[in-house]
Amino acid sequence: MITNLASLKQFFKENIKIPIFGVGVYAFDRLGLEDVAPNYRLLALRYSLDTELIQKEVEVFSLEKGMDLKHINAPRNSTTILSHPRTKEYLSRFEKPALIVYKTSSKMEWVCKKNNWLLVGSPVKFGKKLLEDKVKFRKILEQLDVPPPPGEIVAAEKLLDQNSQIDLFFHFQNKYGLPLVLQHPRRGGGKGTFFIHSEEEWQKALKKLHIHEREGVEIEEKINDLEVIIAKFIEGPSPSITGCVTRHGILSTSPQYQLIDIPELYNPKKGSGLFCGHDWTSSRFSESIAQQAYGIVEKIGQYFKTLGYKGIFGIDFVLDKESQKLYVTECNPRLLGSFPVITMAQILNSETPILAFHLLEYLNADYTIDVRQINALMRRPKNGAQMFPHNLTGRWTRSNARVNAGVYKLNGNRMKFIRPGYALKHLQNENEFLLTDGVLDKNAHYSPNRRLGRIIALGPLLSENKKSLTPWVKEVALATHDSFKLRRVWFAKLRKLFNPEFLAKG
Amino acid sequence: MKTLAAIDNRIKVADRKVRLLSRLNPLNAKNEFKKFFTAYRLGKTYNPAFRYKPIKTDLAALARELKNLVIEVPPAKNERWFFTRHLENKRRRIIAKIRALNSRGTSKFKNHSRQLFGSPSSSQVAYAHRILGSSASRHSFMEIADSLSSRDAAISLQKYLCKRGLSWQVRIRANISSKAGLDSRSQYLLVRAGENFAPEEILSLAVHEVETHIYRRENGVRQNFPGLFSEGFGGPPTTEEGLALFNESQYNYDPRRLNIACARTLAVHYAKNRPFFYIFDKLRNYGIPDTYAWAATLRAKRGLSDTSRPGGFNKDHHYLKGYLEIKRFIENGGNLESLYIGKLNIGNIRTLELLKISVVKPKYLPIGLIRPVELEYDNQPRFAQTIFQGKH
Repeated sequence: MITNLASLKQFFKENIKIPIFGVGVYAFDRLGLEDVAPNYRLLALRYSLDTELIQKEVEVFSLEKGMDLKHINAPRNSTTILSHPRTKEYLSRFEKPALIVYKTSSKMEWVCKKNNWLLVGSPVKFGKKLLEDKVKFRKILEQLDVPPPPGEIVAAEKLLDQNSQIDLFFHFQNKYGLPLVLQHPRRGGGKGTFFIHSEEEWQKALKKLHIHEREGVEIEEKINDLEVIIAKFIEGPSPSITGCVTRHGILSTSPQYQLIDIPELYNPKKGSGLFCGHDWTSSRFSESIAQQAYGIVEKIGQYFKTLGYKGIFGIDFVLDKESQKLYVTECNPRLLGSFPVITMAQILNSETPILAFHLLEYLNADYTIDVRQINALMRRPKNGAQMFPHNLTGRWTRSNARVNAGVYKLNGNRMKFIRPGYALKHLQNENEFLLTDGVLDKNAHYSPNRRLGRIIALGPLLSENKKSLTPWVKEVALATHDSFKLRRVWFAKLRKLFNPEFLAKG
Repeated sequence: MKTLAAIDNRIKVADRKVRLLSRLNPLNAKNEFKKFFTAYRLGKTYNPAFRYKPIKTDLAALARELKNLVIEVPPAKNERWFFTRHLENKRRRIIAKIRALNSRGTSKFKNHSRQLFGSPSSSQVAYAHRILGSSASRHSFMEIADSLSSRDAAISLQKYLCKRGLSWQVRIRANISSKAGLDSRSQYLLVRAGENFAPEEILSLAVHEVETHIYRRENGVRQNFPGLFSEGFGGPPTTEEGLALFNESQYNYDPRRLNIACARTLAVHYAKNRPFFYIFDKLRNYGIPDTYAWAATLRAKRGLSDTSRPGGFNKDHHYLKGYLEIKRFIENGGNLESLYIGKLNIGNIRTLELLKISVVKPKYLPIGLIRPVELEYDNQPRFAQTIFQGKH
């Protein structure tokens, strides 16, 4: 029986013999289980400065190793890794490897089936067309009697109807007040949620429902059968929780604060609802809020189980600061942006990492646990935080400085390199922070809003209001951005046209 | 700044000057009809080439005048906001209509048409396919005979107008796009010359044109903003045409009428990418008689010169769209009488209520609403007898 971290490690050592691979764009993305599973290796697309450090401790196969700043001209995702002939050749050395991915794709499922690889990730059928669809998920919530924010599902066609546009806005404003929230069911990355403060913004949002921009190109989308959500704006922070459907019951960690729409990390012009990180150190919720979160994750997890779902899923909330009530905003039926740092924080906290149970479920391992005991262990307060700085310039840029992956301190308003490192365990105190996850060498290109890396810290990132960064963290974020010395690249798209390897796709 | 009443009037006058629909009636429709059917009977493909009457009105000046009209929408949501906002919306729509007219006969026309009227939804298209694919649809066209002349129809409709105490006159005209229509400015109910009508159809037309369009218009004239209420709020005629079709369906005199609305929807749907001939042939395959298929296709392709090109005039899907909306409105407990305040849309009603805007009670209501005695309509429709008194 697995009761704690030690017995979990023991279980893996004695029972799990098959080779396990974490698959990610960067090696860092799938770290975490190297401390638990002895046969754990990493498959990565990019070869970044932090990968150099990681591979000293974990075996890493990187497709772009040795390519310097050039990139494979294919989408920047795990499907590219698994479909590549060199990966196939590398994996042929292992018997039926298990591959842990962030998110599955149809092509990935096909490649894995063809090569007899075990894909560890929720099937595509649960994703965009079902649980990730915010409208369908809202209907599920209503069925489960789990509260989404007050609002309604409306046919987009009705909103765009020239006869009712003006009156509808007035009706919604009258019903839900301003700002209003309009959500596209499938779009993410800041492009699907609109916070509307006026009729002008309402008109703009409606236009964006059927015309949206992808990499600078306007694309017209059919909205004939599209349904959208109109909801009341709830004032308050945005916690989330990580759940895992197992044959023994629903596991979950403690709820955590998310960093959303932080201007020092993400250019606000990109949209609204932009995810920028997590803060476990600040996540000390009252018993009443925590119990609401656990009740919801249990209900949703049990429902997912009836669908045949297994493994990790995430639930995003908004916490009404007045009533202290949690409302569910969306679901992520896959691994989450909280990984691998949540696993690192769990291990530092002597918890059984929730990711291990995800893997055990897909391996169909014969393990036993006491769900209440494991949940009690995983729901303990933990320390750690992460944030994602992005290219804030709004333009294609090139870095004009080499920024090493590793541990830093703030020296005035500049970063000072202390020592190499890539994981939470490499931090010694709350004054240090770590820059890792896809840190690229000097002269690397960054598209507008491209992620620059990941900053990890032991101390809290969020200020009292749980919506903005503390002054020290703001300085860290801006110093990190400045340290890359980003310079504009002229005619980037044109150059890419003539030299496809010039910039990374995706 | 002008008073709202003056703005309402200016916009009403401008809308009448634009006359979008009548300016899209091809001059040579009759000749092209002959050419098309000659070719069709020989198994050849022919796509009509339409010509239009030159526009004498100075539309550019009209557009300038409208653009210069100052309409200040107040920030506070009250009665004034409601009317200024809708007048502003209507002003923009008239300018869009002018742009559409300026592009008449060109490839740009389809874009303006789509902007003005949108496209049918896939559920609407599926509904139309379902209705037209049914055996009842095919039978309806076989069972009902168009045995009366335009003159007969005109006489019957004129009697009906008189009975209702309306001063409108029936006129027979050659160049209109449907078998009957209205010329609101002159208060004429128009009947197309040379057409044949079924008795059931005349009853349906009375419900459609008189009990819906004329009644709503006459009630609208009595409101505070007669321009908006009698000519219609800015937007496609979804409620207007939908209500007319819904009212017809309540009496069910001529079952072909819903089928025609479905055919028009499909014609608009296909017109987006297909030529005239393809649409006509598709409708015929659904058992729609030649003249009806021709009329629905012509209506979907009006505004173009070369009807082999993609695109067309998208208005006609609003009959079915509106019909389905009114049905839903009634099923959800909506009050039909509220739609007779004037030519407003379903969406406006709730706002009028929320803002407590007072309106004049409608004077003209369909017989069914005034005396809801169901038996009177079931077997012996009340006004069916009165309308044909002179004939029998």
